[in-house]
Amino acid sequence: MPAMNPTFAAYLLRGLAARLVVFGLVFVLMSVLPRLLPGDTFDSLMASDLVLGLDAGTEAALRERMGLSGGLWQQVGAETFAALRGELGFSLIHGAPVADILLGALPWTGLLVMLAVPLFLAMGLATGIEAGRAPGSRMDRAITLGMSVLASIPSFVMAVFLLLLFGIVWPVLPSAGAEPVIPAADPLERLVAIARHALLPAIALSTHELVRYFFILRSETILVSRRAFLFNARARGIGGWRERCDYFGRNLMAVVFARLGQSIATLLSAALYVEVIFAYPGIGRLMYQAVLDRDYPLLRGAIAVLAILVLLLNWIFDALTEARARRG
Amino acid sequence: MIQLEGAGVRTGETVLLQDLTLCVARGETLLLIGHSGAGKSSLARLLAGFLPPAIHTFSGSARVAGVDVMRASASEMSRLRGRRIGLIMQGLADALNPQMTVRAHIAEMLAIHQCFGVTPEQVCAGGNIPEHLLDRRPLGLSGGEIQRLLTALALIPRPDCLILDEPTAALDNVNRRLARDAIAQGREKRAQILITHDPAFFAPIADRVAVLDRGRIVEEGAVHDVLTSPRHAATRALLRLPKPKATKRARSAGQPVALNVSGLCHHHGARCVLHDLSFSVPAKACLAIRGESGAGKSTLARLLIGLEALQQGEIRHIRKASGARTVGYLSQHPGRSIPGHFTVSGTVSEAMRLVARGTVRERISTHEVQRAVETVLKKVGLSAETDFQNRRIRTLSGGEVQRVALARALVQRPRLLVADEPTSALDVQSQTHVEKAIALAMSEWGMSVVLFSHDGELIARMADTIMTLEGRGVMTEESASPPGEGVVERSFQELESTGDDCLDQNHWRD
Amino acid sequence: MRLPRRGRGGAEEMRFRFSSGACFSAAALAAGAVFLALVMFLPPYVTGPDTLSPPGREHWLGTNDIGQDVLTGLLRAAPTTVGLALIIAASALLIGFLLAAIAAGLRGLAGGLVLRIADVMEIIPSILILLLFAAWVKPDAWGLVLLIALTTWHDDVRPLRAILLRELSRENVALARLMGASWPYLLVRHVAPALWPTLAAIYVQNAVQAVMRVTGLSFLGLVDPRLLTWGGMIQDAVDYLHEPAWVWLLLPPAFCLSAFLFVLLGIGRRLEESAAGVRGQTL
Repeated sequence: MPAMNPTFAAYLLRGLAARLVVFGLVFVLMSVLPRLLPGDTFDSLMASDLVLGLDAGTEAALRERMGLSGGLWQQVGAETFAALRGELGFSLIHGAPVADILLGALPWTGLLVMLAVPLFLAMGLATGIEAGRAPGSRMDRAITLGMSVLASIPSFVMAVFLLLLFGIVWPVLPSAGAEPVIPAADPLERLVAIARHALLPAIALSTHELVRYFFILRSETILVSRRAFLFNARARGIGGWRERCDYFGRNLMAVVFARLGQSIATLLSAALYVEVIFAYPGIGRLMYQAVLDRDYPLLRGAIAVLAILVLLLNWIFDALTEARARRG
Repeated sequence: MIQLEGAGVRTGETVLLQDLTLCVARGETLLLIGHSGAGKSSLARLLAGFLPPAIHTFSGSARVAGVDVMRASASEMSRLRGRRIGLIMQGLADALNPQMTVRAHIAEMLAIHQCFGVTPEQVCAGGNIPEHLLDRRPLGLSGGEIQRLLTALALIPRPDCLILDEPTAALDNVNRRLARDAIAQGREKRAQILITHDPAFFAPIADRVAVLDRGRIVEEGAVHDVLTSPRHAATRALLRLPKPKATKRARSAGQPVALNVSGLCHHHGARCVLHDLSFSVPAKACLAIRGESGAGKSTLARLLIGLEALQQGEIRHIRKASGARTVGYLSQHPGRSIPGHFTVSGTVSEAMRLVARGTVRERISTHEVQRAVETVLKKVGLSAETDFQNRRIRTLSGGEVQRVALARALVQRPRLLVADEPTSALDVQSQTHVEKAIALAMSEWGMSVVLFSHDGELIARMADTIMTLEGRGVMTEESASPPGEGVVERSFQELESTGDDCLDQNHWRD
Repeated sequence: MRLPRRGRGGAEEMRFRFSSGACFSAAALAAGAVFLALVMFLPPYVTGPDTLSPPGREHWLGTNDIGQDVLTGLLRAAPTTVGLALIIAASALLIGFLLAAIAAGLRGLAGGLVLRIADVMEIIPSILILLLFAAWVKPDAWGLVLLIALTTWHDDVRPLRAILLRELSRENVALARLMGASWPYLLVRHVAPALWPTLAAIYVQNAVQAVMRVTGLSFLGLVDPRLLTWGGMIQDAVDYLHEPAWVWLLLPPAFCLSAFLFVLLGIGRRLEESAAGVRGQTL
């Protein structure tokens, strides 16, 4: 590893500091906003018929325990300090600490994203290069038309259709959950089961980004194909996969890296729909459930963790892009 | 090996090449010369099968290495390229894949042309490329190194035909000789076409010369014969100074001064761009200001017309009796100085209306505007028909836009025209029209011109006085070169002295 | 490479003007009128005794689980889905444009602040913010307009700021200033016409985003249940994927939604190409 350039290190630190500030803002916003709206967690709990009548003393004690007593800023301050100590609170509905619930859900979402990213990158590069290296050709028109159709199907509709087609009409893949209710004892068998469960959600997740990357990479490919070095390469008789990989592919990587940072936010949004539809126990479904249950500490914790994740990944991709740009 | 019979190429209504008959046998090297825009690069592309049949119409026949390149399929051509036909295009900027090392470029060629037993080191030695460059990426290579590498790469498969487009245009003297040696290597085994601006330099390695003018071959013959006793006017124009000016405008002391600049200083932030600049331009005269890019030419132009605020010094213009605006401006990028949504007539009449409202505080009649617009459009060689007048600027070609910009400047009958590289991006036809219209205005109402350019030929044709702007605004003055001196040669000396700076200016031109 | 343009330019010009300007607004107006008429003359969307009945003479597209006619629902959902998308897109564009003008005009703190906020909004997935709000109030139509417009504008700020800066600092503006043109004249004659194609393209992009978000939120059941959209209808269908009813419950709203998006995306690509064409020529 080459020694890091001091200006590059400063760039990294500046990026990190800016993202910490952003996270602080998001966190405070998350604490303040719900408290400005009418009704708090306690009221919504009281409104459900689960709870019996409580006397004033018990109610005050309960409010105190849930961090809902005192003035607005006092509540927000207490919450922030707790979070700084790593305490994300306790979910009454799940009967477990928020941190534990989130730790259980994160790997599943991670798995889906890890499967979806290479999927849409490979497909996007292949189709984008194929369409863009000969713009206006029959191949280009066919691929572009297909992608336009795909683009007009929202990710949740796509997920429903994939579920319907491969889970119900032609049931070749499991349609719900991340693994069977009783996981197989054999680790290999278990792995296969997990992969089979993740396949449909991962495909559904990748389609939306696939379309976006296709259109970006197609127009970038057109730009690359106008550059002198490509013309010279063709004049030297270079074509086929060498042209596609070494000449287009490698020169498109900078664009791919630059766009990956932006993809994280959209991928996680899409993951919410996909996980809800495939009943996949990831963090998106957890958040959705928390919204429906008005499980406020869980929702807040989930959003905080997701925000950290997004900002961190964004920082890393930003640094990668910058490092590539500095190499020239 | 290369055989053209009555070959012609058109795209739409534009004729690129016309009725070419040419034969280059194995072991022969043909020099192809011609003005820019004469169709040299189109011919190179035709021979390598790079003119897409979808938008080109072919006539006649063109056979390269036994294959009819006008009718061969795309896959047939791509099999032929590299192996049988080599092509080295002009321009060194971005000529190699920035992501691949020199070694990867060479190894790739060795692999696809099945040259087993040859190592990249051997290729380097043969092509006069230092071995330590093997693991570098193109970014750090000099122009000469890139050119030699391109030549070495093209020669790896030992092609039967090699076409080179301006292989040495951007190189210094030493590198030009090295490149010429590389091109000479093994030329007895192949047919070569060498497109160049400098036939004298390549004469030792060439057998014949062909002269291309407006898509036709106007002269062909042995190198010595053509270079020493050219028959066609176009050849003479290429080899020597263009026709001397018919009437050289006399600079007499009695002429009034159109522009007087004294003690001009200008800073961009902390950087001093112009320092203590003083000069004056007499009426009816043309002052050419040369200078490298970054020497402050554009800043000076913007100061002269008032687009940039004056910081220190004095700029004095001659004024008309009415007090109307007396400076016209012609930009290097005509598209930037006219909004794309304007119509042709709208552009010209806007200038008239705005100036009239600003100075004489009155509206001019529509009829009057209409007549003035028509007259000025004809002057710059554009159609004055309603159809054309209603075209939007964004649908015009670069040359047409620049002529509209000139029409807009001339319609105000300015006493001074500031032209910043007015023809550098134009086709030959537009260049001629622009020059003619400016000359006409100079004689008609005594307009003076400040011309910023590094086009030696243009300066020689237009300028009365030449000044050179060297960094920080130091000026050296010389009077325009007397007719008879070889401008072509001089412009090459300029190229050499600027060396690799020319890299950025090598655009792709069809 | 320049394709031959001579003589074809005029026709091309006309086509562009018709396709983007007059045609688009005329189509939008006509569609609006048709929608209004439809809603007024449509039978009410009420529950009935025939639950989950397949398409037939009585109900052309069948009924849902509480006996509502699917075709009626589809038509009634159209103006809300389409109308909301168009209104949200316009609001987001307005916010984005105003902030872009601030970012372009004020170089100091205010301008910088706008750009920083836009950066933040880009990093944080907007669904998180939408969820945060939706957890507390299920937004109605105007709530959705506000919420989604406030989470969409950030995409518009940078391109709008860039094009504003470029147009204002272009040589033609400076030259016309020199010739004595006033600022209002410049804005009307020089700047606005140059902005128009880009604004139209961004508007359509916003509309696509808005459709996705409105239908997405209704699909999750996070909007006011009285608000009928195609997304909500798709959600109703998800419960019946294991029964034959999905054929008439899922396919019609999904098709309508995708067809609308397909049209929007097509218009958007056209506008973008013409905007890029305008930029390419004049840059």
